[in-house]
Order: sequence, then structure tokens, then C-alpha cells
Amino acid sequence: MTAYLITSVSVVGAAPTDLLIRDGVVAEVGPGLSAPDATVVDGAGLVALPGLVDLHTHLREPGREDAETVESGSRAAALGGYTAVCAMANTSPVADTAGVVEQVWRLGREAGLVDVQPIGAVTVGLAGERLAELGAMADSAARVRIFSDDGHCVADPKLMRRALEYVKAFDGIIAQHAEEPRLTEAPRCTRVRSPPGSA
Amino acid sequence: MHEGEVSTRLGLIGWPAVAEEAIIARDVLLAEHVGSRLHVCHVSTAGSVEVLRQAKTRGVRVTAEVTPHHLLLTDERAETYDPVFKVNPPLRTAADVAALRAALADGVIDVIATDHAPHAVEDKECEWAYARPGMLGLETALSIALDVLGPEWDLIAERMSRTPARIAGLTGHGVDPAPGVPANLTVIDPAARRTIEPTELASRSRNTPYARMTLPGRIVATFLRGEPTVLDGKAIK
Repeated sequence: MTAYLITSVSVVGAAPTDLLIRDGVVAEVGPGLSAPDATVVDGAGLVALPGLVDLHTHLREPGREDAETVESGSRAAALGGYTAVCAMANTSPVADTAGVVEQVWRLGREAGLVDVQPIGAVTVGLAGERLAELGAMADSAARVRIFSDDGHCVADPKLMRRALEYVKAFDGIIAQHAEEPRLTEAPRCTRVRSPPGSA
Repeated sequence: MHEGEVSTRLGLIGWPAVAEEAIIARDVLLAEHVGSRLHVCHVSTAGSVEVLRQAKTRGVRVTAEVTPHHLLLTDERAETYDPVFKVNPPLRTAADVAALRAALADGVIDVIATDHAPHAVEDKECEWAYARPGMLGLETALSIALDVLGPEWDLIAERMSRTPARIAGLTGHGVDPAPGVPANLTVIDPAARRTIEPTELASRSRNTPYARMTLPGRIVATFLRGEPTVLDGKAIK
């Protein structure tokens, strides 16, 4: 594993110093470091921050690999300074089972550019009707802790209550796309109305 | 788009701010009632900020995010009818933008999150009504934060790394570079300025709302557990 010496870099805005990276960790921080085996990165005028973390990323895989893949989105993230992204559940199929979240998690590992942490759906198919397999996703290799129907609001208050209660057992979070659907629905004049009595 | 003066003038159907605020108000009460953790995605209105402020004052376990685009752009962008500016929640007014910036600074909003939403050309380059909502964000977020917040590095680290890592429970991320911590870090040139060219982005999609805008800051290097993923501003693989 190559070592890297970043010289004269400002760590989170502080006075310039040197950073030595070795064996996956920050090995040393201080002025005037020397490491003959290290690749030198001139950090003069630059700022080092802890890698950025995105709580809300759509990677589109599985389902819309023409728009983005876990790999292309991971590359975009790394180029943006990110080291971890949370992948939203509105893929096709929806990330509402352990199988799908593990697939996304594994694709992230294989791309190896950022840590991809899958978010699980709150409801089956994002349909807002019944809870998805929250516990199975939490127990999966992806260790899901954030659940969201993003793109859709969990509009049913009883379902939202149950979801909040359920994830409390493992200190999970419900990430809500807050949009009351009755207040954003298209005007009735543009919709085809079913005749009375039809299913 | 946002329901307001601009939507009325353009003849586009608007989504009112209250559609967002009503759900946040309900959900903070539900989270308080059951004692659970709630996170609010892409907060976009001044009214939402006030609901969150009151909930946090009461001790409700709620966190909230704002997107880069809601910190910079307003509903007036829709005047071009260019669906690249169609996003959910919609771009709001200048007063909303000001409230979101203030809330980010004072901590009512905890996190900047991108809502990076790639869309294929056929889903974006069409009539406004048929376009999918969403914008790219990953490759421009730090530049927008720098533009909006200035070189407030501690605040940027807090809102874009430490706090989101803590909310997601991602140990090893969101930790300032110090001896012994995992080398997950990024190196930024704050003096650089770059003009955004959609075709130069690494995303498979092109729907950036910042096309041909010149933004401050450039990512020079990114390290994931000590291995560079970006060096000299270029992806390693």
C-alpha cells in the first residue's frame, strides 16, 4: 500500500501542516514530516476536510443503468470529495428487501470508490400501503439503518407511526419526503374519472 | 413548481409550501409521541424551518437536510421553461433561500445533502409537464457550499461530513484528519474556479442546473481508507 505525504495543507482551515497517510490511516500530522517512500502531494494553498458524506443520493441501479450506475455515481461522488454516500431506495426493483439492499451494497464494494450505504424503502414498492421488510434489511449484510420512500411521502399517518416505532428497536431513522399528496395532486379537470360503481 | 407569483405568471401548476410544512409538522409530533428518530429530506421552505426550530426546541429527535440547489436557486429559474430546473421539492422563493441559509448556519438544518438525481436525456429534455424532477449534485455540492457559506471550513465539515456521518452511523467517516483515524478525507483548492460543462461530468446523466456557471473550489484529491480515489482532480479508476 502506497504512502502519501500531503505537504503544507490546511486541515479544516487551520495553519498549514503536513499529513502522512499510511496503511489506510492518517499516520502523522505535523510540520516538516519526512517519508522517503511516500508519494508527495503538494498541499500549499489547499484545505483538507474529512471526506464528505451524502445522506441522499440516487444511484439508479438496479433499473435505470442508462441514467447512472453504482459505479458511475460513486465516481461522481469521489470527484465531488465524497467518501460515503447513502443510496436511495427508489430503484427498480425498489430496495424494499434484503436482497436488493445487499445487491446495491455489494456493487458499491466492487466499485470501491466510496462507501455505498443503502437506504431501505419504508413501504413495499414505495406504494405507501404496508411496511417493507425493515428488520430483514437491518439484519442484512447492508446493515440498513435509514429507511425512506423518497420520491414519495409516507402519507398515511398510521403507517408512519408504525414505521417510526419499528425502527426504534435498532435505533433506525425514517427519512421522510415531506409532501402531502392531496395538496400537490394534479387538478381534477385533467384526470379521467371512473364512472360510479366501477372498481 | 412552487405555487406562487411566478407559477401564476407562467401558467404552470404550483405546489404550495404548506404541502411540505403540514407533513413535517405531523411527523415531528409523531416522532415525539413514539420517541423515535425522524430525518426530514430536502427541506425547502421558510415555514418548514420554523416547524423544525420549534420541534428541536422541544427536544424532538429530528434532523433535517437541505440541498445545494435549494440554497442557491429560486423559482424564477422556471421562467426559461427548461426542465433542468424541475425538481421535487420545487425551487422556492428568495425569502425561502434566505431562511434555509440562516437555518443551515444556526443548526436548525443539520446537513447539506445532494439529492443527486440523474435522469436520462429523454426524461429531461421534453416539455416541463412530462419531465422527471431532479438534478445532479455530487460533483458540484462542495462548490455550491463554498459559494453560499464562504470559506467557513468548520461549518462545511460539520454540515457535509461530521453530522451526516453521525446521523447515518457511518463510523470511520466524518472524522477530522488526526493520527490514527481512517484516512477518509478530501483535499480542496479553494482558490480555483471552474466552469461547469455537463459533458465533462462523471455522472452518466447531464442534468446539472449549473451548466456554464463558474463556481469556486475544485477537489484536488480524495482518499478512501488511505487509497486515493481522486488525484490531481482526476478519478483514479
